[in-house]
Amino acid sequence: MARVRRSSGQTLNLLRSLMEEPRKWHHGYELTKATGLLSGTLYPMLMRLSDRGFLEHKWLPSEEAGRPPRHVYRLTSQGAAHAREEFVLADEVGTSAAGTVSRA
Amino acid sequence: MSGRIASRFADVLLRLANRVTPPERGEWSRAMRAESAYLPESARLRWALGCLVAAIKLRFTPMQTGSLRINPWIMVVESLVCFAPMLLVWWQVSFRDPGVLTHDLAPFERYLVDVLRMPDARTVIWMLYGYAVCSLVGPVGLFLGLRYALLRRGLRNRVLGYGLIAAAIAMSLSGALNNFWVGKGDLWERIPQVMMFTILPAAGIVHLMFLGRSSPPVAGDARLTPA
Repeated sequence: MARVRRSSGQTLNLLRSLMEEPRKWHHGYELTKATGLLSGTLYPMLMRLSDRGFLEHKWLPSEEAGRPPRHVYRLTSQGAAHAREEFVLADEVGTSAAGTVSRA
Repeated sequence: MSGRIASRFADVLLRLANRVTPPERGEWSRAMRAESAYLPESARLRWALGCLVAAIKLRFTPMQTGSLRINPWIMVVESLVCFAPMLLVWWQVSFRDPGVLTHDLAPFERYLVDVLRMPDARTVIWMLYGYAVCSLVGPVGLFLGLRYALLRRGLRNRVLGYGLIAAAIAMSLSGALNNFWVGKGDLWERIPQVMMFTILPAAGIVHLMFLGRSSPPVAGDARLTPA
């Protein structure tokens, strides 16, 4: 049977942040503030999502003079579907874990 | 640390992160650096440290996922480290005095019995033959390692591979049994020997077997020819 790799809690947090406004482009600092992740954790996660085709990114020219273009991100439709699937699974795991605890 | 010094230090860290990041991830490195221009001064140092951590993670990921296909020059060094000690043992046991291939062992056996008063001299002679065979891991492994360095061909013959690993293990086992019979020998004292004559040669052979299993087809290889 193929082994399915589930997303970590941190990845779920990131997916939730990206899904709050799925069509909006998000930048890195905004995502660190929304998720509480540090840049050293956030960017490798963004890269993994991008490698799997779940995230699209582009350079956005700065509106302020003298500042470099900004790299911005949003989920692809495949990424949004993946996120929804992960949220359902996380809820199921959460429900079953809560059931186990209440039975114990 | 004053804000200005912290900001300069952050710049140094960001440049370092950019250098550490693998070239294929260069866009992401530039993205992290560009983002730092939008941060408040107080957050820049922390951000830069995170970027360096991310760059180091990116460097280590291919190593963790096991790209064991190494540079030929590194294979030369690895072969020398793994197999040279065993090669010296093989040379000593086979050709030096009393070498099993070049010397008549009868006088040596008499010396063991008459001078050293060893009742089991014959066992010692057989062990010398055993060492000569087992230590073939040295020359054979070195040959295979150099062959990989030159031709990029690993060890495909599984029987030979497992045989060489068994021989390397036998070297240490025989030494341990010998110590047991003689009734001396501290386990800790034997660890360097086990490392040199078993763990390193066996690891070298395992690596060569891995390279043999996954080596890409080269020009003229039968696997390139359609069936």
